[in-house]
Amino acid sequence: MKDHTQCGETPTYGKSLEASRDLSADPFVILSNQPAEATRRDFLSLMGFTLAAASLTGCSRGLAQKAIPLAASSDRLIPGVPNWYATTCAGCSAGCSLLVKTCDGRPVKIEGNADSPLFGGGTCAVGQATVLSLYDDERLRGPLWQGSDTTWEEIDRRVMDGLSAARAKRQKIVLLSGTLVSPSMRNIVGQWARHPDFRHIVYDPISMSALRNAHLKSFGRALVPHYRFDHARLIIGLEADFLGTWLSPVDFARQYAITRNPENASYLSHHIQFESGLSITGANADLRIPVVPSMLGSVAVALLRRVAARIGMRDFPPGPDPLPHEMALDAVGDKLWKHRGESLVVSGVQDVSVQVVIAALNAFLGNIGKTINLSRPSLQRMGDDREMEQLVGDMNRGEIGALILCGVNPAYDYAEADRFLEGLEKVPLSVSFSDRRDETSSHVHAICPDHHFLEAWGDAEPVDSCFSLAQPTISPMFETRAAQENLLRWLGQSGNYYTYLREFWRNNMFLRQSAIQNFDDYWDQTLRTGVTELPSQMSGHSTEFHGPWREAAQTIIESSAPLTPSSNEINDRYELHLYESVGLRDGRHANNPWLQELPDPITRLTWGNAAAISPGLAKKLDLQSGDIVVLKTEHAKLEIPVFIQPGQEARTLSIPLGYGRKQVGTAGTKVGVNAYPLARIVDGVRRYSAKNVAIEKTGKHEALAATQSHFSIEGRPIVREMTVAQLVPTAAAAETQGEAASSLWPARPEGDHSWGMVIDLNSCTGCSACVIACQAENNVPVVGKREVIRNREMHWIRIDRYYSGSEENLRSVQQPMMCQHCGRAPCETVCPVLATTHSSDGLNQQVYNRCVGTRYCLNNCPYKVRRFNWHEYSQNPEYDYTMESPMGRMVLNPEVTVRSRGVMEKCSMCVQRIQSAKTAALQAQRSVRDGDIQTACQQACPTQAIVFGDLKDLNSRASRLRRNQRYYHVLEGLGTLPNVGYLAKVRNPLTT
Amino acid sequence: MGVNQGYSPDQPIAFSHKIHAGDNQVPCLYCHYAARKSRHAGIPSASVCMNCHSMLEKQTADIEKLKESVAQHRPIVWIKVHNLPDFVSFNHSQHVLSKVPCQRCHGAIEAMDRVKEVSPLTMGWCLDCHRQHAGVATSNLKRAVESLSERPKPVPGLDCGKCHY
Repeated sequence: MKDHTQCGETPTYGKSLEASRDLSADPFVILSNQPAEATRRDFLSLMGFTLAAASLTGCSRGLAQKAIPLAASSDRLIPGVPNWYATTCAGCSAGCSLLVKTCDGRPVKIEGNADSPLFGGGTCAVGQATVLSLYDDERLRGPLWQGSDTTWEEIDRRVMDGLSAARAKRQKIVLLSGTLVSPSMRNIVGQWARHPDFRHIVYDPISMSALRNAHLKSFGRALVPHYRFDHARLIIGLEADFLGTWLSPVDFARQYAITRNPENASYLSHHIQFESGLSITGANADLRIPVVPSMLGSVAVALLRRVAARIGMRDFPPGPDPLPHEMALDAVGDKLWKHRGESLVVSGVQDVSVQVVIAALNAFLGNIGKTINLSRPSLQRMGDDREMEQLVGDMNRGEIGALILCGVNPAYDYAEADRFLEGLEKVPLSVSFSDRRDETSSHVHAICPDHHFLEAWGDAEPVDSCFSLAQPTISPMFETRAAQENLLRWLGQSGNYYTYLREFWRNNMFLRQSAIQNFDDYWDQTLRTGVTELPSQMSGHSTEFHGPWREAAQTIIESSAPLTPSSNEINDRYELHLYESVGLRDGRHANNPWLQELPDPITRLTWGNAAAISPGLAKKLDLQSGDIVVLKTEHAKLEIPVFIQPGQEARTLSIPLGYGRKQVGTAGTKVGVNAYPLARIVDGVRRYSAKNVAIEKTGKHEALAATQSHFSIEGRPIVREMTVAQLVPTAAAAETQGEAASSLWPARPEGDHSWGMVIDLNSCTGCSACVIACQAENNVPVVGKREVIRNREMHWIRIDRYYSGSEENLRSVQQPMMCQHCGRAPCETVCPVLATTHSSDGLNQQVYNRCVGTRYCLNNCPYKVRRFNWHEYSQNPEYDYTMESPMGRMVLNPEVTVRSRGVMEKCSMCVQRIQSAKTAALQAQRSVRDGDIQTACQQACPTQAIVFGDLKDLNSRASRLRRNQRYYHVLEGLGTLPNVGYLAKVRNPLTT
Repeated sequence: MGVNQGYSPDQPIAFSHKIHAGDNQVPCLYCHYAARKSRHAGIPSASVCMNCHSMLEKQTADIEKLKESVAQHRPIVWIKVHNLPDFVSFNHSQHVLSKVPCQRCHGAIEAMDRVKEVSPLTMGWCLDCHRQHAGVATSNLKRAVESLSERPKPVPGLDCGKCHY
């Protein structure tokens, strides 16, 4: 047995603070001692009848099945052979490059495009789930005028009349869009902008306007830089969840993991996170310091003061430090100075002064041009809050003649949604490109539904001169039309967007390269690879910092005068922090049941949101998780359940945005509470935090659907953690594989392979992309809130999170957990019908057609990774999520069985992918090579934390990782000999 | 239960495998070209039929149906003869590439005027063959394999998870 202490100290972990769940709510738990009503004799006689009945009905032959060939043969479309297309994700404005798998003409699975220099092969949970949104039954089938079906010709006529009328009256025509990451789309907007009355306003629901303004003041251009976490040895985050949701999480997580790999990196980065609510970024940090949102500016100033002192600036505005963290701030300041030029400070705070101070910090440390790229900036967030505020004013004054809404829903996610709607009433012509009737589009004159991005052409430029193309993976399923085509038509240009896009690329990107001479070849090549990187065209842009940092620091010092703790009034006031959740983000994907049922990596909540409060606050106010409170700010109030979250800053409530949609569809409407109205516009920027929040108890309670039922891990070393100092430089750790633990079972015949997996807890950020990837790949059903409360969620892979440390210095580890494919599997020995057995290549296999549903295996599984189908989830109106409608069923992977009621299921290590890779190798007349097979979870992972491979091949990546000193098995002492193992998490404390 | 041995339904076109595969020696994989690459053998679309029939003089009512199918871009709806339950994954290409003759499962198809399911297609029947060949690479493939430095051994699987997933 491997020594448990070998991986260093093992902190005490607990899974959650919640005690056991209330069993009386579950009808399947027998609470009384009443004798069972049916006797054994009754049972046997019933069984006899059922068998006879079954044999009688079994005699008849089922309906004749039809076999319909293709209408015309094609060498590119072979039934049963998937086709792959490179395209670009439009799930958010990050613009990740994708590969889409289509089976028999249907897109069924999304994967990252490994050729992308920005994103690698990774994706996020939202990107993975967008394929389901394509088959959303509630998408509009065609255009609507005043709420009634109409034709595109009619729409064109009415819209163009309306635009002419607006022009005649010299009224403004406004295009209100989200960030346009597409260069060709920006070019179309540029054509509109030649008209003097036209204005283009960019509105991001989650704005980074303050950051852009700060860069305008500091470097002379409003932009979001391209951050290079991979070049940083010291990363400091101030309320920026860059691994989960902030700006471009797939890119950032990939970069971050590079600096966190103790084996490959030449150095190991330090990461310090200041934040109020626990995010997955904070959970991954070496040091996480809880800070109320209003003090984050002071933290930035305190750090700048220390750096300024080192440079020798004596005139820094005086002011107190945010007190409790003085020691930590000194240490961080020292560290920053030590790593000047190779550090990175990022902040998501929507306050221009704070962002100017952060920019000054980075500039004084010499990080510009090293970890912060201003010459090739990010184009992923371009919204300007002041312009949006002005627009709403103009609309209410009746100055807007026509408003075109492209990919935005301000009636839901704008801080002053009511004022926006009032203004919208006064606009003579309003048009929305929304794909459904939502909060905004149900109030406009014309809804012109756009294609889903998997049906559409397009391009993207997420970072300056890093391009990717988007191509349709299926013909448009409904009478929808590309937004770009509408804009072209209404300009009076004929022709479709595809032609425009090609010409745009011919006249721009093609001319900027010289490798390929023929445009058709260039186009085909770029379309196939999906991505291309060109030299930047940015003219000599100043990287010289000239920001008003003294004034900014002064403003922050004045505004954050220390609280007087003696005042009782202030003692009852709390701070609010609004954040994007990893699953729903800004709320646009709320009708996606996969994302609704994705457990939040920190709170583990599904199907709804709650205000996170610290255990201390809960005790003080006598609140339990699920108790509903009313939060009152100066402008709004909100009724929301609370959730007790360790690590939460003691005076702060954190609420995820994206919930509480009023109009989105069956799955997403009225799930959770909309917290956007609590955001306020302060100094021209929308701020996602508030001070002076009062909490009132209501006495009401709501059951929260959290996917956790254990409160303790009983002191067993399930997750392991170590510090850098504990790493042995030349690892001579003994290989655990092949350790001969004594066994009562006879040896099994072994095949050519032994499939296994190694998961690096140090790389895993908890982003949950793997969970959705697995769900898409393996036809995992959605079960809904009621069933999740009964602990019947069906995910084959879950991300467990464990806490350690004290309440003040809480640490958290995320652990992906799926079937461990034990060499001596406890589930196999208890199955009475041999429905779960061991394969010759090391897989624990589950045979659905043999399973009779005793659930003995589930009860005997020490890892609790088996899932039982309590109900029929497919074609059942009671579970109207994905598999009920013919549309939703189109997303099903034809290579994996849809399980029926009464059978057990679990991770199969993507055996269908193993089989396809073997077939492909057979076709190529070779054997399966390391890397041929990627499981769905492995492929989706942006940090490559999961490695699958043949453990019999001693040179496979997985085998090599199993010889790593950090390698261990979960619950090793049970002797289950799993084929799945983990690498311990490594923390890099500030002292090293 | 569920065994359809002997099933031989009427088809919309009285296509005879005997005439095509038997008398005229058209190779199986000419029409069922997908069987080499896909888990499905694939039923040819009418356009494949017309590759030959557009050059043949003989015209019948059934051939008219083919022409119409091509002209109208509307596939012919055949009746599926060999049905496996949804919980089984059978891959044609793995068997074709391992040189298992089509007739091993489909019987003497080249002698059938109307296709008939001759095998029971039960798991026990599959396994009989798999057991017989377990660990023994089929001769042609073995030769191909030995000429390569790598080590493929397409062994007929006996693991449940080879077909049930």
